[in-house]
Amino acid sequence: MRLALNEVWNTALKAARAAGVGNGIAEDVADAAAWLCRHGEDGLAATAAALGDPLPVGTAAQSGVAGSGTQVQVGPEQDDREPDIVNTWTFADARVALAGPSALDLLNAGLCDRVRFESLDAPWLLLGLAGAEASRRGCAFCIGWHDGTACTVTPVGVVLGAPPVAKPSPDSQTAPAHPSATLSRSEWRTPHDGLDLDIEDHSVADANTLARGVLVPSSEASRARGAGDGNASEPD
Amino acid sequence: MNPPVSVGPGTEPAGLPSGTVSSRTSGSRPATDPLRPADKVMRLSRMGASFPTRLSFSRRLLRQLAASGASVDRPVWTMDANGHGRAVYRTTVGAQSYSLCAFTRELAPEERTDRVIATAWDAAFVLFDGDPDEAELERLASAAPLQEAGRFTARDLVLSRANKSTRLFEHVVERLAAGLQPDAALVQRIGYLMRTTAVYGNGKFGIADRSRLVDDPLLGAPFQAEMLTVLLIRQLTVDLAEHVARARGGERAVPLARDLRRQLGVGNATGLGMAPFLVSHPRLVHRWVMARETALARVRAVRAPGDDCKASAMRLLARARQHASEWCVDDDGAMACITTVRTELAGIAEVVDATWLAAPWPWRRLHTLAEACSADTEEIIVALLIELHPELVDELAETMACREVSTLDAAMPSGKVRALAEATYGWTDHIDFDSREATARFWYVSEDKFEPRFGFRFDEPGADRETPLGIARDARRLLDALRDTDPHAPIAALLMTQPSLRDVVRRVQCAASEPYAEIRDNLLDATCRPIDMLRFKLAFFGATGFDPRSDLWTRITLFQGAPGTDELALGNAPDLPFPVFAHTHMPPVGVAPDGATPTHTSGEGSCASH
Repeated sequence: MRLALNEVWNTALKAARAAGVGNGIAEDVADAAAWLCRHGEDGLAATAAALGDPLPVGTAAQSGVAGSGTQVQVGPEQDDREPDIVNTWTFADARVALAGPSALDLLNAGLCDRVRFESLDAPWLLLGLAGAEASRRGCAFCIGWHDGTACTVTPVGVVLGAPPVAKPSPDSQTAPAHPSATLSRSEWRTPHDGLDLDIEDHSVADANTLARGVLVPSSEASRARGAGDGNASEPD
Repeated sequence: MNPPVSVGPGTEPAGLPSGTVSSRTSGSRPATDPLRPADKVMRLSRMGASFPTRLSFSRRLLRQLAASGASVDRPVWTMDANGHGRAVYRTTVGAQSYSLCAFTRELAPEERTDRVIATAWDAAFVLFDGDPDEAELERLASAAPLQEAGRFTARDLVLSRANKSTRLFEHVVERLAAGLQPDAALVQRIGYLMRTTAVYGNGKFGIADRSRLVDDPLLGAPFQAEMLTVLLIRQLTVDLAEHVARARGGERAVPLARDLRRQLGVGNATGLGMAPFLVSHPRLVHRWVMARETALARVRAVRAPGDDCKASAMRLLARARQHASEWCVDDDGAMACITTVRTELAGIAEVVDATWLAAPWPWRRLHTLAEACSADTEEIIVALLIELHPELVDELAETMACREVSTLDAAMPSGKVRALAEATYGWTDHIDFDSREATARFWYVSEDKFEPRFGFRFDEPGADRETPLGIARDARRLLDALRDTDPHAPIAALLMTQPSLRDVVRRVQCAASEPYAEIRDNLLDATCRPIDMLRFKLAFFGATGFDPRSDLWTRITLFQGAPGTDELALGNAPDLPFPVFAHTHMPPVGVAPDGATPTHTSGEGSCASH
């Protein structure tokens, strides 16, 4: 199904709001979804994968639902002159929608050199969050995956490596304990100019289902208060 | 209350072209007075008194069309005798063209509604990028009438629909068919042959993302594509009436007189859907207001305007008075404001004459006079002043765009965030958010037909799904959270434990350098009037004839008084603030158009309380 980037952004925003993450996190998720789509990946599927299960109430560090078991490390772009990174923040059982923005905050604020996720539920959304942040700040992030591989996320896309984690799909509802890994040389993708953005129909449907969570059904009480009576047509 | 913001070297609006104003020395910026503070101009009551200026988006479009030598033609006109069929209006600017594709149909009276839940309209439109071929026209003929239920492509720039003002449209057709001109009083009272009920841009339903247009010389500025769409719809409405008149009257039929054509704009029924935009685009809103306030500040600083300029001011003041005298609405509260404006403008006119204007800084003194009046009067005078110096003002229209990039400074110490929050949101100190009044309302989108609504929190369900427009409440929550936070700790630490504060922290940091970004009122309060937000945005569009029907929606008119598209080709696109209906058929001020006993006084010599 062809979508405009703004539609992707708004659908992801509503889905995140419906999940109860708060508008600031919701906007970051929406930016991530749009960034992924703009670089040829299914941002709505990544959003649905991250939000499909209820998010825990509480802090990002307390996100308690076990994810895919993928271990990733997020840090600033590697500098070979300083291989010994000693200041690492670790998230256990991270829900990316909450932990991802916090991880990027820690790195941007210089509070740590690296963030480790011991168990990540939605690695593709992490990629999108890092990519969107890279675009905002004109910087790059390096993601090291559990199998030792790494990719670098920049404002213009993933320039080195490829995420060795399965892309979200309807078949991945039962998260494998150890997702399969694929190694491939990533292509240099020109950022999408918004023409003919084609997204899998099931991704659109899943995200829209989540986004409908922000809609309020009509009720006797709302009708009694005159809801919807504005803009009534008047003869003129 | 924040002190006025002074603008000087290094603090001009971002994106300003350098050295483009002939009245300045090379490389220098014009002198400015202090800007009006955000605590004044970003209050809802002030926003609800907004008036269109020459910086409005519709005015900018007209100038751009004239300056670029744009032409408009109509390569497709396939209409039956009742005006049902299709048409294409093509705007050509150099090698580029943009085509309004219009599809009209029969509509039963019971189907005609302005609500967003409507499923059929008198006319459906798409602004197409380029010249549509037959296949594209067929695609659009199928999709456009579906509106939100259709899907569109990246070459479709704007989607819109409109309904007839059945009374005026039929009246105009009957008169023209009989070889007569329509009743000028009726034309003035209604002001449009059709009114749009939605004008969609920026990616909705698959149409082109706005990012595709940012570098377009004609459509790159805010809402230019939407304004072009409405301008072309305006031409269609007149052509349609004349066409149907010719079909009925044959040789007897006459075209609409040009002065009546100019008095017809395009109506619009604007509801709640427009309001959340102002909250979700704070940086853009700041740009708009910054441009307007900078324009005012520049004009105020003019020490000795020329005689022509002073004469223009006198003419515009008379025009503003005439405009106010012709502006009548049914809403009692709004009519009271208009009556006050009439009185106050009369008082200003008694003071401002050639001698008064001869003293230095006449515009600063005129604005000072207006500041002692009602908000509505002051904003009309602000619009008048901005009109006087295009050489100081027009370049500011190019600073009103903004690519919203949400950045968050996670390293900022919590103490600094607190200081910024207190500076921007200190006005929330007196609000008790635990009281029912302060959170009586909530914004939401209905499940059926996705209609935006403004609910009563304690009387109906759905507040758990509210649209996040309670920025004042969020700011208060942030300040409460920061009270016990180590001021030296980076704000990232707080956001780790309270991610729900992320948005308001970002907004607080943004507002530090963009003071006009935030509405300085509680949008959840029992007394909140969404109509104030609608009028603010509509004024920036260039809308006139505000006619509020409730606190939730208003009718307005766009391009009333503007030249026709054939006049643009001549380069004859005069700026027309304060549209007036200077017609011999007009009754005297204070008399209802039908000659009946007036229900509203003109305000001349009276002092209506407000």
